Amino acid sequence: MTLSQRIHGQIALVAAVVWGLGLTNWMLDSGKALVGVISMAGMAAIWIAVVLMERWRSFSRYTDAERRFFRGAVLGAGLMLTASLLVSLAETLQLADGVMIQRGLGVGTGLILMLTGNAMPKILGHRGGGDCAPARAEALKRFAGWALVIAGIVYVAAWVALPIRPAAGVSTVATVLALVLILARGGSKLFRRSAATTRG
Amino acid sequence: MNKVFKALADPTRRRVLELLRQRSMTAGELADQFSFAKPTMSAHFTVLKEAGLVEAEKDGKQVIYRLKLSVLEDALFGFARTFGIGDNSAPAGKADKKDAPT
Repeated sequence: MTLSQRIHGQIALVAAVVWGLGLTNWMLDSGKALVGVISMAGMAAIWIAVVLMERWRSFSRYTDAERRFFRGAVLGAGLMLTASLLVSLAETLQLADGVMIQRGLGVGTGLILMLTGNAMPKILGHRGGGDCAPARAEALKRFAGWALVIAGIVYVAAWVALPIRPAAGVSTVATVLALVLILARGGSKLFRRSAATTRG
Repeated sequence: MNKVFKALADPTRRRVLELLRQRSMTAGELADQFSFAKPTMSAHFTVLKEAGLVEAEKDGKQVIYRLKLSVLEDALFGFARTFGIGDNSAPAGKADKKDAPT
């Protein structure tokens, strides 16, 4: 099996799940037709984008890191569509109440934050030039990754352990604090660099 | 993940990662920090590259190494350094030139 066939096979599998769930949603509750149609169209758009990208540049010419990133992005998008359809289906079938769904979404969002933060220093890779010296840029990426992972852990813990209202507050504060710290550190590095340039 | 654990279990390779944390370095600059023979250092670099902890970029005749750690790998690196995992096997930079990486 070629690399292209393997990638399309994986996308087909995710698409089958998304389209199956989309149609089930639609059939069980016609009021949710829009959710199903948007998800199915979204998955189709992802697949078309993958086909176009392959035409532009063959998958075999991707580096391992690019391939992992690409696969993660496509499968991640498919999983998000699947999750939203499952939530909608759970509501229709009355398998879960609003609180449970809210908690599930909170935990999912926290996990995405953690995974993004974890991969950030590795995936962003080296960029030559720019406003930061390479060592500073690397340090900033590491700091940003750690900040997002810790915020993600707090986010998940809050949605698992706290009542809904405090959980929403704590998770928001953790995310905003992480972003503010990242911006502050990035800004201070740029400020120090421009101050040193002015003195020099 | 096995490759990552193997790469981090060696004090010489951890020292290489510590040096790269300060800045990107050429293979020669890194090798100068140790008393190992160049093939030994080259083998250490290969283990780190295969584990995906560093990336190598060719610049003319030089190879520049850069750190490429995810947050989890960074945490594992800190853990291995704190508890000195594998420290008894071969002290970094002090071993005989014939020592081969494990």
